[in-house]
Amino acid sequence: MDQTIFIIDDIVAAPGRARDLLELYRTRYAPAALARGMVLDREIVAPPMWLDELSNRLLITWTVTGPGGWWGQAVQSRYDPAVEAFWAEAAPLIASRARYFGSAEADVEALSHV
Amino acid sequence: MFNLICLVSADEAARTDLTAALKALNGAAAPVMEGNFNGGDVAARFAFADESAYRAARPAIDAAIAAAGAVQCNWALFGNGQSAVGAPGLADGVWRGLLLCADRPQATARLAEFEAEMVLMPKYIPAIRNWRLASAIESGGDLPWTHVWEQEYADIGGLMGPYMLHPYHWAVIDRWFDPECPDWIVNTRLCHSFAAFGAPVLG
Repeated sequence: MDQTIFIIDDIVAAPGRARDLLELYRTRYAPAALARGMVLDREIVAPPMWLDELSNRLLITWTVTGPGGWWGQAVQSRYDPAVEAFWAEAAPLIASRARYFGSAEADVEALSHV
Repeated sequence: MFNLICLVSADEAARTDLTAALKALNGAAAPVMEGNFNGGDVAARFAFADESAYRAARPAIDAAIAAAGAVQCNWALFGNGQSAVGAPGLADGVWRGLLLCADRPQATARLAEFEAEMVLMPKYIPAIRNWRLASAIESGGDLPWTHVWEQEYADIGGLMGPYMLHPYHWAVIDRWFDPECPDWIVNTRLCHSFAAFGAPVLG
């Protein structure tokens, strides 16, 4: 199974802290994620301006190949204390967040009939 | 019904006698298969009509495990919980048991949602033929296990293939187990064990 799986961090930054959060994410999270086999797809900042009084939303999308790639990154991060420590360190910069796992619509049938 | 799972770690030389001893005590027992995670070396599963039957039987089970020089035993006692039998009398299948500990700070508030999503797994993953999800009444070992999630498959391929590869597992359920997800409630220390008992244990 070699479908592209998307790992999407949907993070609402604390008001005025989106730049700090993105910088922390890039320096403290992304290198290890790359080492776990995740490929950075894109970083979207919404709205496309830095807000001081309000929150920016960061949509950071990674890809892995197939469920095997998904489990590969998951098992590595789960038992790496640095990953949990990163999210704890980032918490003051975050108002709320979610993480989603998905695929292109064209891959849904193949992925869900295993 | 009271059910007991024991996942025993013991020297290789002791495992055959331990398996026989646990079978002699009316348990289903077998070597744990390769690929387990903290699943022990010998898995045993017992069913008791009621609590008094369990209390009466437990000393002999503990003695058999002690006699094997076991270095660890992760165990859980649990009731009927939620279950379904899609393949009654599945004697030549593979049993899988997961002991988990939902001990993260938000676990209590989210348990009902977690359990409701867990029992939907067999709907989406029909390779799960028989299953039970139950809260632990008592438990011991590495952690105070809070839940037992057990399944029977027609063969090991059902566990290694559809169960692990289906997106309902990794894209829905796993977020409860994933420290990277805000819904995380389950301790990352788990017992993932599977064995071929040669007898049906769930239906």
